[in-house]
Order: sequence, then C-alpha cells, then structure tokens
Amino acid sequence: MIRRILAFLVASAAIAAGLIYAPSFSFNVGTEVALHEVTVKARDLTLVCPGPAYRSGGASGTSLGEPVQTGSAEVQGAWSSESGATLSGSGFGGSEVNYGPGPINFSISKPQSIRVTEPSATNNQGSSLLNVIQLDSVATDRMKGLLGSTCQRPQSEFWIVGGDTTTGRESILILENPSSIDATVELELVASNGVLSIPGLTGISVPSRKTVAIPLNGLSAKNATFSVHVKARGGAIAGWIQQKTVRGTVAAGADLISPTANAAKTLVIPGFFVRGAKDAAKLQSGDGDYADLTNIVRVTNPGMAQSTLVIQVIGATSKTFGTVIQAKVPANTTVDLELPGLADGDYSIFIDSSKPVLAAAKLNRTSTSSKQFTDFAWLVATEPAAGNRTLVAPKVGISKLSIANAGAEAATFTLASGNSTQQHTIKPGATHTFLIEPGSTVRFAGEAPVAASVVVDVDFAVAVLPMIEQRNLGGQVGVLVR
Amino acid sequence: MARKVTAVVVAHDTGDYLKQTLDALRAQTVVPDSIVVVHTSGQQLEWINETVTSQYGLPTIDFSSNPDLFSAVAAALATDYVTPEAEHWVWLLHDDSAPETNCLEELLLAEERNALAGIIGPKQVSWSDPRLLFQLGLTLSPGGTPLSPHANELDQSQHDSLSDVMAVGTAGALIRSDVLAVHAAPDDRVPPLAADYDFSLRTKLAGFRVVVAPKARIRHAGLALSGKRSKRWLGGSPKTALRKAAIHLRFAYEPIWFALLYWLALPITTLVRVLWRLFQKRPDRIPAELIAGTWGFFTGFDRLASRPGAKTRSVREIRKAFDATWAQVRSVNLSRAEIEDADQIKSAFDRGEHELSASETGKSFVEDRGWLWVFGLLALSWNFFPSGVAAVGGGSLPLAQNWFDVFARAGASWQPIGQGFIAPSDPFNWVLLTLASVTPWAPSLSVALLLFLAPALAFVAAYRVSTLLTPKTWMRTIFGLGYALWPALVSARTEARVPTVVALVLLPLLVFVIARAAGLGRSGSARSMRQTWSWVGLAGLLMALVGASSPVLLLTLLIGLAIVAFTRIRRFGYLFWVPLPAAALFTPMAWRLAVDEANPLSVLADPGLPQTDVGTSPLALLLAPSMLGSIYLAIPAIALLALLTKRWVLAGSLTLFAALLLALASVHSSIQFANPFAEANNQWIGGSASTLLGAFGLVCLALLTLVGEHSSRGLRRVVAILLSFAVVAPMAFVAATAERDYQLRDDRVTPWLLSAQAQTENTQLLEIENGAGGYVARWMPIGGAQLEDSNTVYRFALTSLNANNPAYSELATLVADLVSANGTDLASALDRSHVAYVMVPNLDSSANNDLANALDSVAELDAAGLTDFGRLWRVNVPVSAAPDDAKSPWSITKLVQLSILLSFVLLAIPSGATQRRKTKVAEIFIDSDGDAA
Repeated sequence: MIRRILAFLVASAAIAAGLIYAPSFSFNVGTEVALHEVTVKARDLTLVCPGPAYRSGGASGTSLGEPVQTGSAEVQGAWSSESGATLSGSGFGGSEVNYGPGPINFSISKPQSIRVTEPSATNNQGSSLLNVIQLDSVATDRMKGLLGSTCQRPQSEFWIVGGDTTTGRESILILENPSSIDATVELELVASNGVLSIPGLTGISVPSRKTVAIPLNGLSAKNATFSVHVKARGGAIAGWIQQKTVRGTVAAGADLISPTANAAKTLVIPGFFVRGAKDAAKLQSGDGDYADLTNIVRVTNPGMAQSTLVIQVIGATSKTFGTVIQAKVPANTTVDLELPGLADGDYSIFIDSSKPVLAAAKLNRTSTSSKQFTDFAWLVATEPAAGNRTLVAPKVGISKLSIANAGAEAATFTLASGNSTQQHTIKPGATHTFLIEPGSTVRFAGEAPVAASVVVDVDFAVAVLPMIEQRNLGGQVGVLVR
Repeated sequence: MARKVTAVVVAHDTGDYLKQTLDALRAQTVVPDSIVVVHTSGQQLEWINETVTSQYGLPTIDFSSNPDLFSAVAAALATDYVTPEAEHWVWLLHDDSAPETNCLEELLLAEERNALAGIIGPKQVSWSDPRLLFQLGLTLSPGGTPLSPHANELDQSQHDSLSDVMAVGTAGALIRSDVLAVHAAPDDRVPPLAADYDFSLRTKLAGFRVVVAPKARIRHAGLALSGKRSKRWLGGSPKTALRKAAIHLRFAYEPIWFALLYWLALPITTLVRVLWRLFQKRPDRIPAELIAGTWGFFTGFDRLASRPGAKTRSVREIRKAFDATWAQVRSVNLSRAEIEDADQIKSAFDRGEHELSASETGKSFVEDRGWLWVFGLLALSWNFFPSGVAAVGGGSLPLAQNWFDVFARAGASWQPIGQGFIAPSDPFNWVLLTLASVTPWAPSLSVALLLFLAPALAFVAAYRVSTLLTPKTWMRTIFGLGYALWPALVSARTEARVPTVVALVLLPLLVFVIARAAGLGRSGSARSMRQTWSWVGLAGLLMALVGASSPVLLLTLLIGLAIVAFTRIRRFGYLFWVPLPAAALFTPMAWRLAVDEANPLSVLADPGLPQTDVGTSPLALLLAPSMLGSIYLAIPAIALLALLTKRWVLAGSLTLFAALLLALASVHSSIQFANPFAEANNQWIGGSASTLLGAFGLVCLALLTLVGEHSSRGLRRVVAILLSFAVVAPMAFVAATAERDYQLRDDRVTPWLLSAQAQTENTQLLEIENGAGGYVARWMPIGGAQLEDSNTVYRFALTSLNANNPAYSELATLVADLVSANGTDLASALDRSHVAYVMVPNLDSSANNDLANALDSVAELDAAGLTDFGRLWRVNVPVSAAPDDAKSPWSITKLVQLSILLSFVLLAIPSGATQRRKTKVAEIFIDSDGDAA
C-alpha cells in the first residue's frame, strides 16, 4: 500500500508541476508565402466637381420637384503635364474638352469631371498631378454662404459626416456618377440613436454621367445629428452633402460637406479657425434659433463596440490655448460634441480613439460688426500625407493654409510659391497656419506626413478645402496567388 | 517367372524416421526380396553409413546432388536390384513412411486381386496418431486442385472398400517395375508434389490401374508437407509446392486450348486467388500464390512440354471418373479449417487465454439498453440535425456532388488546383471517400450526418472499448458518456472539424480492435488465426482512417502499438501489419513533403481546413472557457485514484501515457504551420491538439474504470453518484447548449450559374479578395473547390510556386491589372490563364467593394450579378479550355493504395469460417479438450 500511496503522490505532484511549469515555445514549419509585387499602371485620375449649388423649390422656392442646380461655380486647379500627360474634361451631358498646359480656371454650371491621361504610366498620382477645387459664393434670399469643395475622386464607398435636417436646416445628398457604368447606391444613416431604419435607402440608381440629389430632410426630418454611409455598386461615384441654414426668413450659411477620411483610431482635422466667438455668443444668448452657432465635433462610431475618445483642440499660437474633451461613443451611433469656450484663433483638432471612428467638425463664422452675418463650414478629417503635394489658393478672399502634425516626430517641409521657397518645422501634435497668396499655386514637399486644409474667408463667408492626395490603385500592387 | 519385390527406400535427411522405417521393413510378414536405400540429401552424412550399411547391412546409392524422387528411383532401377519386368515390383518407401508388419503382404494380395494394377497404394495413416487417415488415394477438385479426399478422417474402416483411385502417393506404393521404368522417367519440369499425380495419371493413360489397398497400412509423417524437410526437397515451402503442383497439373492435364487460356489468365487468376486468400484470412498463403503464379506464368512452355501427349478424351474420362465433387471439396476444406481452428484454440488455452464466463464478460450492448443512451445523445444533438445537405463553415466545406468525383480525388496524383498541380492527395481524402460512400447520392450529407451522430457513435465505440476493462453496466455507461461528451469532441463537432470528429469517433474502436488482435482485455482474445487476421484487417483500416484524420494522433498510436507489439511478442507477427494501410496512404505525401519540399514536419499538419485552437500550454488546453465547461476535469482528477488500487502498475502505465498525450498535445499546438489560405495577417496556425486531448480523455476514462472496478463498494457508490450528477450531467448540459458554428445548406461551392456551367465547360474561376497585405487571388475550376480539394502538399509548396512558377507570376499580373482597372488589354492574359469567370466573395468590406467597382469598369468583364457566394463577372473574350489531359482519376499511387485498402477490407470482413467459429467455438473447444483428456 505504501508503494501505491507513493506512486499516487509522485504522479499527482509531477502532473501538477507539469501543468503549471510546462515551458512554452513555438517554432515554424513551412515558410510564409511572399506576395507578388506587381507594378501596374493606375487608372487615369479623374476628379469630379459638384457644380453650382442646388436650390429646392425651383426659382420661386415653392414648386415641388427635385432640387436643381442654378448659377455657376468657379473651378480652379493645377496639374502637371511633365510626364506627357494630357488633361481633358467635360460637364455631365456635355462633350469632352482638352485643356492645355497651365492652371485650371473656369466656371461651371453643372457637374464637371476632369481627367489626366498618363500615357507613360508614371503612377505619380496625387495632388501634384491634379488638384482641383470649386468655390460657389451664393447670396440669395434663400441661401447665403460660401460653398467650397475639393473636387473628388469617385469611390465605391465613403462616409459623409455632417448635416442637419431640423427646422430651417436643409441637407441635400448629391451623388454624381462620372463613369460609363450605371451605379446602384445603398445609403445608411447613422444618427445619435443608431442606424436609422428608413425605407428607400437601397437600390438608388445613379445612371452614368448623371447626378442624383436626395433631400435628406425627406428621409429623416428634424434630425440634428447624423452621418451618411454611401456604398455604390457598378460605377464609382462622388458625393457631398449640401447643407444650408435659414434662421426664420434669413439665409444664414451654406456649405458642401465632403466625405471624411476613413475610420481610424487617430484622426486630424486641420483648419479649425474660430472667428467671431464673442459675436456668436451674443447671438446665441438672444435667440434660440442661433443655438447651433456652437462649434462642434461630430463623431461616428461605425464599429460594433463602444469607443472612448480624447479630442484635443490645439491652437496655432501660444495665445490660442485650445481645449480637451473626453467622450464615449456607443457602437453604430453618431454624436455631436461641443467645443465651448474657444477664443478666436487658428486651431486644429486631434482625435484619439480606442476604436476606429469617423469625424468632422463644424465651424461657425459670425460677425455682427457691420451687418449681422453667419456662415459655417464643415471640416472633414484629412489623412496625413507626405511627399510632393500641390494646393491651389482660391483667387478670392483670404486663404490660409493650416497644417497639423499628428505624428510622433517633428515634420519638416518646404512651401514654395512662385520663386519663393521656405522651410518650416512643426513639432509633434502642433499646428501651424500660413497665409497664402490668392490664386497662387503652392507646392509642398516634406518627408513626414502631415494633414492640411485651406481655409478661405470671403467677406465673412467661410469654406474649408481639405488637401487630399487622391490616387487610383497603381504602382506596386501586392498579389498572393493560392 | 516368380513375383519379386525390391524395396527402395528414399532417404533424405531424417535419421530417426529412417531407422523406424527400416525396422518396420525388417518386421514385415512378407519380406521384400531385396532392399536398397537411395540417399538424396546430397551431403556426406556419417549416420547413413553407420545406420544403413553397418547396422542394417543394406546397400546404399548416394547422390552428390539433391535429386527429385523419380531421379532417385531411376538410379535404383539402373542397378541390378531391379529388373524392369511385369513380375518385378518395386515397393517405394520414403524415409518417413513406416509400414505396418502386414503391409507388403496386403499389397501383394491386392495385386493378386486387381488385374492390370500398375500402382498399388497403401492406406497412409498419421505417424503420430495412427487412428487418423493421412492419405487414401489422391484426386483433383473439379477446379483441378490436388486433393487428398480422406485426410484427417478417423479411420473406422469406412473407406476399406475403395479400390481404383485417380492417383496415390508414392510413399509405400507398390509399383510394377516396368511401369515405373517407362512412366516415371525423371522430369525436372514436374514439380515434386505433382509428380505423384503425374506418374499415376500416365500409368492410367497407359492402360494400367491405380488402386489402393486399404488393409495395407503405413504410417507416414509427411515431413515434406509439414515443412520439416529442407525447402530444397520441395523447391520451396510446402504451400508453394502445393500451388505449383496445382498449376502444373492444369497445364499438363487440361485440354490444350484450356491450358493456353489458363496460361494467359494466370496473372489475373493469381490476383483473384490472393484476394480470396485475404478473404479467407489466410495471408500466410499469399506468398505461395504469388511465387507459384509467377513461376507458372514464366515457365508455361516447360509445363506444356511435359504434357503426357495423351488424347484429351482419355484424360477427360479419367477426370470424369475420379475427380472429387464440389461437395467433397467443401467437406475437406471445412474439415481442414476446423481442425486448424481447434488446434489454435487448444494452443490458446494452453497459453492461458481462457474464455470468460458470462458473468465475467458482462451483458451485451443491447442487453445493457445502451440504445437508450444513444437516443438520449441524439436528442441532445437536435441542433445539429442535418436540415441541409452540407455542413458549411468552420472546418467543413461541401464535398463534390458526385461520388465519383470524391473517388477521383482519393489517392490522386494530380490536383485540380490552378493549372493543375502534380502532387499526392491528402490521405484524408480516403476518409472523405469512406464517408461519401455512406450517402453516395449526396456525398456531403454524410459529413452533416457524421456531425449529428458523432456523440452517439462515440458513445457506442467507447462503450465497446470499456468492455475490455469492466463487466459493470454503469461503469461502461459512464465511460461511454464521458467520452461522447468529452470537450475535445464536443468543440470539434461544434466547429465542424471533420478530421478531428472522425478521428475521435473511430479512436475507441481502434483501441478495442488492437486490444482484441493483441489478446488484451477482459473480453478475451482472438484465438483463431482467422479471427486474429480479421481483427488485424479492421485495425489496419481504422488506423489508416484515424491517422489520415490526425497525423499527430497516428504518431502517438504507432508508439502505443509498438509498446503493445513488443509486450505481446507472440502477436508481433500480426500487429506488424496493422500500420500497413496507413503507411500506404502517407508514404507518397510524406516523401513529397520530406524530399521535394524539404519539410518533413509538415506531414504532421492537420488535414482539411485548419482551425485555430485556444492556448498551447497543457493547462490552457485543458481549461474550457467556462467554469461549467471545465467540470469534466473531475474525471482525470478522480482517475488518479487508480494508482491506489491493486492494479496500480497498470494504472501507472496509463497515467504515464496520459501525461505523454498531454505533453504531445502541448507540443503540437506550439508548432506553427504555414497557413497561406488564411487572412494575410494570420499566415501561421498552431497544430490542433483536439485529437490528442480526446485520446487523453479515453485514457483518463480507462483509469476511472480501474478505480470503479478495483475499489471498495462504498467508494464505488460515491464515485458513481459523483460522476453521474456532478460531472456527466453538466457535461451533457454543455454539449446540449453548444452553439453550432457552421451552416446546414445545399452542397454548392459556387453560384448556380457556375455549377451548371461546370458540367460543360473546363475553365477557371478567379476569386479575388482584398486582404490585409494585398490582394489574394484563388485559382480554381469553375466548379469550385470542395473539401476533398484541400491539399497539404500544395499548402507547403505555395511559397515556391508563387516564387518560381511563371504561371503564378502571370496570374498575379493579371490580378493586379484587373484590380487597378487601368484599361490594359487583358484578353490574352485571361486566355492564357483560362480564367472565364471572376468573383469577389466578400462584399462586407469597403476594400472589396472598391475592388468590385474596379472590376465593373474592366472592359473584358461583364457583370453577372450578385450571387450567394459574392459578385460574379463573366469574361467576355474567348478563353481556351484548361488542360485536362491529366485528369484521369487513376494513378499508380492510387492503385497501390486502393489495393492495400481493399486487401485489408477483405481481411476485415468476417469469413464464413470466422462466423462459424464465433457460434461454435464452445463446442469445438469442449470436444477438443475432451479428446485430449
């Protein structure tokens, strides 16, 4: 019996020791399959400009029917013909026109696509190859404000964070299909109470070379906080939300909201220039219809888990102190987070999140000095980029370039305009502002990725033009065949 | 002239027998006129001179070589002792054939009674037991096989009226010297055991009679036939010699057209006979069949040349008169088989392998009402009822819709991957073929059924293995339920890990069958050779199926089998063959992986669709995610108490084996195998420990049974109650509430459009996805890739294929051009790659949506719509058909593997003799015992 007990004790101890102290190790059998790195020519870069603003109700504002575009918009741009590329473009429904070398500068009365054809397939796409902006200054009884946008590369999926369909606010979703293939679009509206269940959001047809304008007020009225997820099958499309505000009978601002950067844990929104903060506060205190003059950051959490955010609003100088907000965004919801107490100054917004999120900020421009004027602009998050970039300064108003460094290292870059070249350095987590000459073409060169936007102010009306490096897939493409 | 008899004794190499034979000669009531000894061993043996010359004073003729019988006789005829004439008879004696005292007298009386007798044979009786007949005349079966019709019968004078026969053995035969001189000419083309027939038949054809004299008795040891002589004497083993004799007689005494046909068909005949021997559970006779068949085929001219040259009609008449009937053949075979079985049973009894009494073996499964538990387990599996034909998801994909397609992939040397990949199929494909054969009209259904039935089947199998350990119903039930609800099996079933489920369901049966073949366990062992071979056949098949499903478990099983074989050395000869089918299935793949891919460890990779396991340390592997799920650990904890029982040595061995299994499970799960079919950021996957954990469970349950079997009644009750309510019931609850991780749906793997198109079109489908590191393109036939298309060699060869194969580079370029939609003319690239369809399977991600939109703008593609498998495009430029010249389902590998598997199937199928043995064993055993007493 003693032997049995001994055997039992020894076995029990050995097994326990083995379970607790078993060494862990790992070794590989086989080799990882390397991707084929294939160099391919990218598709020709095509940018789409939305065209002039849409007016609901026709010329009188009272007739029924779809919104229609009236007036014209100014298109400006720069492109490079160094590689033997050629530039062509056409308005929707119009014939294609070839453009010569030199800056792009013309008016459009309908959506316009502009394409650079690169026969040598240098695959050097981005703003240095083609960068086009559009400005439309509207001043009518029913709409007043500066509508600005960077012309867009068509995509099959994007998010537009922004919009308001409460009383006196109008959101029109503009979908443009520049391709030769019809597109079928599916929409998803994510509001503060989650994904909205609305009939008619799927199977929206956007025919080739056509535009569809969808009044979001008709889909989700009196909704102050939402974002729109657009997915297209067939042809790739471009999209914006045209947002306008009317306070009582007074038109009080308008803008084009562009798609925001892809969901990420770190986002940057440069160009958050606060002006007229005191005037705004004065107006807010007097009339409830001015309550939305508060600057906000709108965040959408597209994931399945709650996200925790830290939002830092960083000023460009020591006099503009900024602020920090912490918030939680439930899964599949959109929230507006107020940025109170910001003094006039130039800011950029840095967002850190525990989960990938989408973000945009609404900036108000208020003046009561000569005559009361309010306008707003939606600033979208922009993806930091490095290398050679080109931006175009609007030829009207005052334009400022806002650059924000969200990286961990200082970013050194040069800005060149005409014959002048200047080198600058921005510390990590900082933002700088540069005044740029109206109508000038500014060349940016730097190795560290930074985010940038151009803020343009035309007689108190404001618009923000994000700097986006728009490229089609090309160059080195990794392919694994199995 | 007076009748004269010369006794010719042919002595080979058996001194003791020769002395007794010479003594018997001396003691004859009628003494031969002369005696001559012909020594044929070809050696200078001192005892021959001492015995024959000095002691008996007999003349000796020595051969320096090793002659056949009739050469030896011819030598005697050439001396003065024998004169070839009608009145001079030769009494031919072998050194192992001792005549009874009146033998010659009776032979001579028979000669007087039978006119025209040329050969008179005595009644040959057993040397050791003269009550048994050894031989009384020879004949042929209707099929031409030599037959001794009365061998092994108890001699009760029941055949003493016999006279004319077809042939007699030469031992003790009295032969007219002139007949001997003319018709027994030495002919080395005639094999030794055919010589007696040949001589008798030639004598008959010459007009003489061949008769037996039943009252003339001779004891015959039959040393040559029992393998106690040198193989040179017969020119091989007795079995080979017998088969050679049969073949020779076919050539020599069948009509010439039949002989020629027989010659041509001899290879096939041999193959069929080999299979028949397997079915008879007589693999020991296979070498003889093969050697003799080959010999016969390649010496056909010699056989034909030694035909007697007689009229066919004469031979036919002899055959018609003297051939045995089929009934006689069956009777003789049956008698022989029963005698063999009885001998083996007696030997087993002598070794102490007793049959257990009914009280010791316990009730049968049906008597135990095991079916109630089976129904209970099926009820717990309601969520897994195959409401669809195929289980899709987790580790399962549909099988081909056609059984023949599944068959084509088993053992194939060419895989329909990409432009065709030359490599051996996974051994697991044979498992899939086995499953598909259960529901051949819908092969995928078998997998869905297996997943539904798995716990019930595991219960039955585990119950069976528990009968080796205990006769108690409750312990067998606990054993079966514990195994059926063991977490490794439950989670494998939940995640549709088909290979793991197969391995775990079959593992207990394999253990049981090996135990039976090795003579282990309570329920007794297989005592007859046929029964043992049947177990070996079944064990070989089960080991192949289990091993093909889990190579790492096969490794462990081989270790276990080696231990069993060396501890049961008497059974080594049987157990040695058990791994043969598994070796046949694994050798091509192992060779390719080890030699061509220089990656021998990859043979341990899990077959099918690899799934990720949680944890690698032993503790992590054992702990379930929930507290309730970990309750099963009470079983190994209680099982340790077996070390305190009187069977502590056995318990210690089992505990060590359990620890080894756990350690191996940890090691295996720590090995990271390349997994290029997963997401780009998940290219390595650990080996699955599930099968080893299942085996660990089986050993723990065996230890638990030892506790129950050898502990006090009180402790036994406590253990029973504890296990039933606190362990097995929660395990059942966990199993019943397990979520199914796979879908049950139809068995398509591509959209209807392609499934239909695959019937008439042989082109490729290109599936493109946007992965984390780039684009992933999958190249497959438009019929899609099923579970049987998984290939381990391809998995490990993919690196070199992507790096070195131009077709892969070209396809990568095509994919890059497609996804960039840059307007490049892709018509020729699509044609060269034989890609007629493109599909983007996963449209949930925005990247894949971008990809789909890019493909929409490719001029060479027409959108075919959104299918249930993803978005599909049809190539609108001409695409040539993929090469299909290598699509034959047959290959040498497959033939070899199939032959071995079928051989083991034949071996495993219980033959009539085995079944007879099963029903009559007790009676046979008692008779045998009674006789011995």
